[in-house]
Amino acid sequence: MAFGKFSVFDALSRKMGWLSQRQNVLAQNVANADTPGFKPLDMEEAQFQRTLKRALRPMAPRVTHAGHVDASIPQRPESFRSDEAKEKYETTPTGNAVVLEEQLVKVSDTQMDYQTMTNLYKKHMGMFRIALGRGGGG
Amino acid sequence: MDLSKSLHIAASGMKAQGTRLRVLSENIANAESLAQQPGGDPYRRKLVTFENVMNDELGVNQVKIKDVAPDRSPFGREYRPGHPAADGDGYVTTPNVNSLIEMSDMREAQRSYEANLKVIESSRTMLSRTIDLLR
Repeated sequence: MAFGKFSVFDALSRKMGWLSQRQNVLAQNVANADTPGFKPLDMEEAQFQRTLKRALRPMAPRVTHAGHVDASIPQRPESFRSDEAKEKYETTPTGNAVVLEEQLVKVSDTQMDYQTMTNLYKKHMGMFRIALGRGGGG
Repeated sequence: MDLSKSLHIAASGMKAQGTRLRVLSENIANAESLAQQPGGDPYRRKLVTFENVMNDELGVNQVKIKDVAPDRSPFGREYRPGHPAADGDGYVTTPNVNSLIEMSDMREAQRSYEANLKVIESSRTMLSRTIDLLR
């Protein structure tokens, strides 16, 4: 059964993708905590408007004839972006701006969010189990 | 998979900090290594520099040891007329190792190592939570 078709599973796995990529970015920051000139990165906040814009693609002319020029906007790959963090706490004389405490707080934040997502996933799955009559213990 | 990538990144950071600790311990161990004969150089302190390198295979930025370079600061001088390496005035050159600097460097390396370890722990928990979804 394709669970991806149910919007809750889709949304949850997207958020999990976002969180695991954030974990990646944070791991890079921590690993480079002593690299001269390294600036920490962070993920762009997931925003409702931008997501909506991506979902409702802008109107584009269709190519119905071989002679038409294809003027449609190429679709952007569905990936998340990471940007240089805007607010920095401090920069060492070597130009490194990683603050370990800040990064570790973000790591634990990410972990907690991820746990929330997996728990929600499980709960939703439990509801399917109830519907199937196997008891919703989860 | 993304989470296993973050494990690799943190492991590269731990490896770099481990090498740094090795060089630090070389410095501390050789803090009293003097020259054998007059005019010879004593032990010269070594410095580790890090670098952020793109790993094409994984598509992530990892840390690498860029270079282990000698510290170019001047040697110390000490009056020890009986030493075989003493010059005409009875002075020997001593290594440019300051054990206080080495110790604080060691603390920093330890702190960074622990931070990387925490990231691994957290990524591992996230991975096992994902696997738990199968239950």
